[in-house]
Amino acid sequence: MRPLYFVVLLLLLVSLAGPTAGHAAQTSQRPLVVFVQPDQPFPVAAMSNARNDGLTQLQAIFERLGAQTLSIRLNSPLPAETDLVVLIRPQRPTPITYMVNLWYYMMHGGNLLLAIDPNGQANPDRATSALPQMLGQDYGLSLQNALVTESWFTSTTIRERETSMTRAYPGPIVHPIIAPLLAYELPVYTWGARTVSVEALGLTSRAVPLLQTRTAYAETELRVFDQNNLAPLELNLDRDQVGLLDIAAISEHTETGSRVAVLGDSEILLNGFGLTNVPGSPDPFYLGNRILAERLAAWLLELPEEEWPPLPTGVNWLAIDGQGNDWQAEWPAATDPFADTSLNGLDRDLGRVMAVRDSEYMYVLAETTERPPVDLGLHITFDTNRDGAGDLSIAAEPGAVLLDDGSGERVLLVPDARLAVSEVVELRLPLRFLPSGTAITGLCLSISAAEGSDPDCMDEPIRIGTVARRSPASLRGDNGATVMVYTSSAVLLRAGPGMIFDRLASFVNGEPLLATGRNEAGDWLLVENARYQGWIAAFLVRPGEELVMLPVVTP
Amino acid sequence: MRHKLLVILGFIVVLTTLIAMTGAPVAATQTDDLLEGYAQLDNAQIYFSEDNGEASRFDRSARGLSRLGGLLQQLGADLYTLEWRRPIPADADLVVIAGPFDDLTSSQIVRLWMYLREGGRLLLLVDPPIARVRPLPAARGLFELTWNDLGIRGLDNMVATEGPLHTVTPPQEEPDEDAEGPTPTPPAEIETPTLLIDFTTTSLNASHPITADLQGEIGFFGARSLEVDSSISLSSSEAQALAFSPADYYGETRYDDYRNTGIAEYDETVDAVRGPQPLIAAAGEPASGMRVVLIGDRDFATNGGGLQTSPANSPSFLYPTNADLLLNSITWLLEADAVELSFPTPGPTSTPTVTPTAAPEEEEAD
Repeated sequence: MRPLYFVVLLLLLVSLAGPTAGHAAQTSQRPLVVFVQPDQPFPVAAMSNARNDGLTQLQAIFERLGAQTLSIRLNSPLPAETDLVVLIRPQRPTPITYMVNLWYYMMHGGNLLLAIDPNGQANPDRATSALPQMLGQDYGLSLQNALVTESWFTSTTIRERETSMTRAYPGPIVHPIIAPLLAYELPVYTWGARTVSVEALGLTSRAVPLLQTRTAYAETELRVFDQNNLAPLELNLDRDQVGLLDIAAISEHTETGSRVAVLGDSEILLNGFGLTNVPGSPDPFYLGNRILAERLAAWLLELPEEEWPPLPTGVNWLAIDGQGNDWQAEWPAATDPFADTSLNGLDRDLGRVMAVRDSEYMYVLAETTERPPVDLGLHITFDTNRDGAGDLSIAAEPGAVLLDDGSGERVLLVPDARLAVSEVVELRLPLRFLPSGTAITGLCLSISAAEGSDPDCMDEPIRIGTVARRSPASLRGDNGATVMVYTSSAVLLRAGPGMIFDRLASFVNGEPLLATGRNEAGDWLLVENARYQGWIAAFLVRPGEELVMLPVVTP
Repeated sequence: MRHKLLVILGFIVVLTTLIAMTGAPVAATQTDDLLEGYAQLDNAQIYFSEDNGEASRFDRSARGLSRLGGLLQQLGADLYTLEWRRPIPADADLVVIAGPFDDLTSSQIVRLWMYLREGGRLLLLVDPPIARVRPLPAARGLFELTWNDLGIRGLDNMVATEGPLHTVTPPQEEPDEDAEGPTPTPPAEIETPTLLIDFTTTSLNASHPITADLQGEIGFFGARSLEVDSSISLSSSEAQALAFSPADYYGETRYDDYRNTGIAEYDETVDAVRGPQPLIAAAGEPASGMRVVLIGDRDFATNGGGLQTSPANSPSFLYPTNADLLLNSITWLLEADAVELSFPTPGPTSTPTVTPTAAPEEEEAD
């Protein structure tokens, strides 16, 4: 009995120890993400802080990706098993001991996510301190002492985080991290950013810019924050930076394999700013920020792309790219029954047609027997008043979608409509012209460049399906709330929409202004810049076509 | 007559040739003999920093480091100049930073410390902060790291002692132009001691391999004192002071004021307390292999300082113990066999020797 007893005991021990050992192995395989813990010499955003300035949302992203997270001070060497260090919102220059510990880890192949604000209000590393210097030398990423400044910022608004909000856009290089942002034209929101100089090719690094501003300049005079010696916000071409300004980038060290992501604004990743949710919902409020954060995290953890998080739910992910591969098979479709037209001699016969609508847009897809020519035109007739007859039509070409309301008086350019022709024809139209119950009564394809070309039409009724989700286009952030305009001549700014109102200021030709509204007639615009707000005549600005998107403002 | 002239001329030519043949080759032979069989530094990769105004191994002037560079090269070492914009090469056996005029940049400090943490070796010579020369402050930067991790650092002072009295006029306060009343009388001249900063010492640590077998004086030419914590601490470092000033010296923290006014007064509340001041220290961390030798005087190793020769440009060092100590430091840092050299005795026509400083140097005009 005794030997049997020992065998049973041994088996029991093995069975107990087995799962434990396996679990330990599993745990140790989870990537370790170390958030730098704030302390007195080096205050940073804290992983465990659930308030607006905290990083619990970012921590949750890493944990959803299978990582384990720890919060550790940088005053001692990092654990050898660390896969990624997260350093967000330092408020003081990195102490030399901390810098040594961080760089020792980096030069042994460690990865870093750094989000660092401009100097001025706080006092993080300046461009000449160790961290920016070494990022520049080893990774080709140089943090600048420059603050992204939009033309509508004022000395007051720039000092408040909430009112220094602006948008940055992906590009120009298509990297998997920003590919969805490019596909859906999604901006990333920032709240006071510093610029990052990106040297794409270096001796030891390959860097890729991720985000750029489009309308801002970079203010290098940091006394704009100095209450006691306040400097004005003004563009100095000999000193300030202009053009497309990079504010975020990634880089990979070619010798060590170490990866770095640098964001010139910490709020992009803070709970109460870029990673905030729709109130009462787990859905992200700033979709571009959430997608960027998730994909950056996956890239820094070196996960294979197929394991990267899917795009957030609750959004209709239809891209107007002419590919048609994101349309669902179950959505309603109609097919042209006739093999009838060769489109001006080309063998392109209209085939399947689909139409759906979401919260703000209608989408139409048209397939042809062969790949359609790129200069294809699409003409659709709508019945908006449900009387069975077409009363509104659109004529769409790549680059311009025109709307004809049937009155014979008005043909309107629809700036937020899109037509893309590649494998298929895809069209997006804003619902503001298409009330509930609108039906498609006719659809024709034609070669737009060919005079008198013979269109291929389908007169079958096309049912419009409904997708109960938000539109990615509606999340771009520039869907009509504001428009950048430039004066086309010397312009007077007035206190109201008319010549009878007082003059407030005069602008020279080419002055950038932010248009925030228009009068009902659309001939006067409410504009503002860093110093003034007032009205100018609409015909004196360019561009003009997007101004229809502005909300009507009663003076 | 003409024949006699020709004979005399020929004699002069032969004599000149003989002198020429026995002059330069003698020095070369001495050097070769000196170094023969002592190629202990074969293939040692030694990197010199030159980005911050350090003494250069290419500089043959009194401020230069060409003699130390030459010695190391003839002992078989390969010498390079450090490129600070890149990590210090992993195969670097030793980094020499010989008297930076400016503080090292933060990124240089980070690169240096990363190298040391991997078992790197450093010979660091640092002058006192005087006037526009502001190398490595005691409380931050590189010395913050050496102090925390190794227990050694340089202090912000000048090792000095009082010399002969001299007469100076104390600085006068700027008169208030708006104030009315009698014109203030200029202050009377006073007698105050000069400060001596050049000195020699024989006070060496007999228990450390670098200094154990050294005999003779070593010369200093304006040094800062060091702080050495050889007590038991959390770090596993081992630090020792190797050389000390004579006992009547102290660390003057306001030497710039003395240069401007000629007045100095020992103040034990702010100055390094009078007594033997540590001037050279060695520290190591056995766990990582890191080793550092710190010398509080750049000129300890320069051509016109510790490695000055007599006659000039001969291998007859005026302070051969300086050269011995430098080479011992380097062999200890490299963990190579000790180099035992016997330098020729200095000739009778000595180049300037260490003498007490008679008066403070005049401040350079801007």
